[in-house]
Formats: sequence, structure tokens, C-alpha cells
Amino acid sequence: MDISAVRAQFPILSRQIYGRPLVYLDNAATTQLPHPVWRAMERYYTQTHANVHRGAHYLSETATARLEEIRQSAAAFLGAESSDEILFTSGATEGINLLARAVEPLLTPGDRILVTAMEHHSNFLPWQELCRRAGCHFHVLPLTPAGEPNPEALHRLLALPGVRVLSVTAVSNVLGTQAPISDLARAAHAAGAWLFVDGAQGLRHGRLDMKELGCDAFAFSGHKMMAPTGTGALYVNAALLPRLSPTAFGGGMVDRVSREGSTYAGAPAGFEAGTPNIAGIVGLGAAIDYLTALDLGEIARREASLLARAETGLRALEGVTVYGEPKRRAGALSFNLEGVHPYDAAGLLDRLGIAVRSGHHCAQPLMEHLGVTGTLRVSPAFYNTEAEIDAFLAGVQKVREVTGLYHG
Amino acid sequence: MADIRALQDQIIRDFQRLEDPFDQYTYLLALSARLPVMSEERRAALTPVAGCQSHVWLDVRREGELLVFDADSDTMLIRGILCLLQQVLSHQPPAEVAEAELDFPEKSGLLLSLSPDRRKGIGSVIETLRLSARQLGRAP
Ligand SMILES: Cc1ncc(COP(=O)(O)O)c(C=O)c1O
Repeated sequence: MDISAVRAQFPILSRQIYGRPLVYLDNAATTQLPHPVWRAMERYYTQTHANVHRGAHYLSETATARLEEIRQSAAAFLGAESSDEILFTSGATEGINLLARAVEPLLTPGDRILVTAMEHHSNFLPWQELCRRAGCHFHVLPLTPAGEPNPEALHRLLALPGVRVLSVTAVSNVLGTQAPISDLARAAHAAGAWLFVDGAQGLRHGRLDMKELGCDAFAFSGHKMMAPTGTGALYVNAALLPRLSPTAFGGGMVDRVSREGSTYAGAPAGFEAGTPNIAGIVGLGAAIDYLTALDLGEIARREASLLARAETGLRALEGVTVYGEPKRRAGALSFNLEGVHPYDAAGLLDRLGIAVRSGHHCAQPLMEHLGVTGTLRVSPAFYNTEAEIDAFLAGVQKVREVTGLYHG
Repeated sequence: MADIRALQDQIIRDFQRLEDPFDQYTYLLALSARLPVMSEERRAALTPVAGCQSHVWLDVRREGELLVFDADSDTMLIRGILCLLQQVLSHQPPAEVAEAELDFPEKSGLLLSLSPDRRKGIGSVIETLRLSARQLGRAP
């Protein structure tokens, strides 16, 4: 990968912040957009903008065709069987909420839903709320000290009667733990449950294949893979898809509407009420093409090596706690500096031009497990450089020095 | 006691003179070191300021004709800002604290690297001080 050519596609990366070069290491929160992505959106708005699946005029048909082409390329990107399995959403949060509503009629009181203690609130609350509405039991799978879903606890919980859903993040947005999705899918299926995956952080770590992974549904956000905010998709496998009920009602999702009663279209249209974020989806399509052309394997290797460099550097510093030691870590790493509030450290790093995240990262149950109120999180992407990781490490060292100087 | 406007202008000038944004923050750390730490017992006796993600404790009282307060937080940068608030507002007549237009946090640029919830927290601290000032102003 020619890194300077890659960086040239992301003008924001050469910005100055507080008079210093920006070191953007908050890619788990959102990633930056390369030229081809926003050019595609610009082209769409200046040449093809029209509503989809509506008019029979030239622009509408072109826009509709483009949208359906992108559905195909999203299906190929995820290794889905058919493009009907791809439902466009505004992101992972909407995808998981949609899924929870859509399976609700299939559950009976007393059924069980399992999530892990490392879930983002977006893959925790929709299930907790569903359990409350449907009278189901909500279980939170504990983690091992290394920060992985505890296999014995999983075994024990899956042996309980009535487990219907196991919903797990592909990659923890805090610890970077990569969950063993295909093992979990096998275990869930053997217990008669579905395996649902929060794929928000799971996209840039190698080629995905839904059939190989064996998951029944997978939700992701475009803005964590170089696409604009407000885009994403929910993959639902063809076996489960026809059993789902629509969750949002309105234009574009109907079969026939009358005063006496109405019938709805099947997937994907039946799950996409209202005018979609067409320009955003065009951007998502361009991002898929961009990442594929860049080579997903190469992206994954590069990000893994940057993250390992950060981890090695942090562990070599005194007074730094790195959280978790999962077998496979991807995308993100959490840590704290002894005696320094994570907010203070992040504020000081920001003044050095270094963007990292601090706080609970929308994962309060995980913070509870770690026994902290917050952490610092560093999350490189392929467009970051070794020099930026070193600048980050030097920044952390500097924060340690200045806070140590004034410590009460 | 200098008036609230003059004290704020001094702080704004001090921060502008520290041109490097990182130095501005290390200056906040130095201010933090000047603010006495409250004992656990004293903290426990105070109601933490509502709406703060970081913990902030305020002990506001009247001494003679003046409003006086001590403050503490679990984060150093917030302690630095509390130290500045103390310089500006403590030992001032309650009526002036209640009416003061506080623009130094904004104009000195020191809120810029704080997360939105911490910025809101600073707002709550100022609100609490104003409220106490009104109550103390009314008391005989
Ligand atoms: C693991 C995980 N799940 C879900 C989400 C929610 O994604 P979005 O806000 O794009 O819906 C995030 C985003 O931070 C995440 O990291």
C-alpha cells in the first residue's frame, strides 16, 4: 500500500489542529472519507438525483438501478447469498433495533436472550427492552480476565431452556476483542438459538463471509468504513428473512393498502419504509469499491500492525494499564494512565493535535466489568502511519510528565 | 478586591499570552495544584453538583458581606477551571456574583478540548454559584 498516495485521498488528514499536525486515532468512532466517496455523492447530486422506486422517468430509473447495484455489491462484500438479504439502514443502531422489533412476534414469554458484557449500548439496550416488552429473560454473558466471552459461562447459559437469541459484537469497540463468530454461531445453533452480530467494528479486519461465519443477522454502519454517516445495512439470512415482521410502516414498503387492511412487500422493500438516504447509499457503494480495490487483507494487516505498535509502546511505558489481552485484537485498544483521569489525558492529547476518545464508550456494563468509570481508547485505521503511532506514544509520555509534575 | 470584570479580563489576557494551546492546559494543571483538595469527609457532606460527568463538589457560604466558596473535582483540568472561578467569584458580594456575566471560560478558549458533558458541567457549576448567590443575598 502506497501510504502517501492513500493519505492524499483524505484531505482532512493533513489538517492542523491547535497549530499541530492532526493525528487522528479515533477511527472506532468514525472514519474519514476518501475523495472517491464524496465525489460519487457529488456526482449523484449533480447528475442523477431523483427518488427511487417511484417514477418511471429517466433519473428515477437511473437512481433506482444504482441503489440496487449497491445492494448487490454490499451483498458481495459481506458474502451474502442474495442481495435481498441486505436491508439498508441508517447504521448499526437502527439495524439492531429493527431486528429486535422484527423477531419480537417470534418470541414467547419465558424465552431467553443472551448478550455479552462487552456490548456497545446499541447491542445491549434493544435486547434488554425487547425482553421487557416480550416477557423474556435477559442474560449478560461474563468475560474472562483476558476480555473474551467466557466459554464455560456460554456453555452453561446455552444449556438453559428457551434460549432464542445470542447477540454478540464482532469486535469490541473498547477492548478490540474479536469474537469467535463461527464458533459462537455453531454453539447458538446447536442450542436452537439465532446468532446475531453487531458488525459495527467488524468491517476492516479482513474479508467477511456471512455463509462461512454462519450468522443469522449482521448489522453495520457505513461511517466506520469510509462511507458517510447515516448509512449502513442489516444482513439477514434467507432462512430467517421471511419469518420477520416489518417494523416501520409507510411509503415504499407495501403490497396493497386499503381501508379494511393492508399487506406488505417482502424483503428488502418491506423493511425500508420511506425515502432512503440515496446519496449516502451511493457513498456507501463507493466506499465498498474503494476498500475492495485497496485490498481488505492488506488493510487488515496494516491496521493490526499499527495497533500492535501502539500496544507494545504503551506496555513499555510506566504507569500505563492496557485493558484485556484477547487472543485476537483488532481496531481498538483501551488504556489508562495511573492517577490521571481519562478526560484529562484526552484533553491534553487533544491540545497536542492527537484525537483519541475518552469516557465509557457507550459500554457501561463493560466499564463495570473492568472496574473503571472510563478509559482512553486509541483506534488506528490503515491511513495512519507508524510515525503517527509514535507521535501518539510520545504524547502519552508527555501527558504523564506534565500531570506528574502537578499531581496533588 | 478587584471587580469581576477586571479579574476575568486578566485571565483572558493570561491565556492569550500563553500562545501554545498545550501550555494553556499545563497552566490549568498548575492552577489545579493550587486548589486545596477536600477531605473525603468534607466531600461526603456536600451535594455533588448535578449535571456533572466528572465529580464536582462546591462549598458555598457567606462570610460577612461576601460570598466565599471552596471547590474540588476528581479531574485536574476541571480543578484548574474551578481555581479560576474561585479567583473571579469567591470573596465577592453575592449580588455581583448573581449578576456577573461570565465570559472568561469561553473567551480564553479553555473549554475547547473538553467533552460536551464536561462543558455542560462547568455551566452547572456556574448556575449553582449564581443560585447560591441569590439565596445568600436574600438571607439577613
Ligand atoms: C460495537 C458498536 N456497536 C454499535 C455501534 C453503533 O453504531 P452507530 O452509532 O453507527 O449506529 C458502535 C458505534 O460506536 C459500535 O462501536
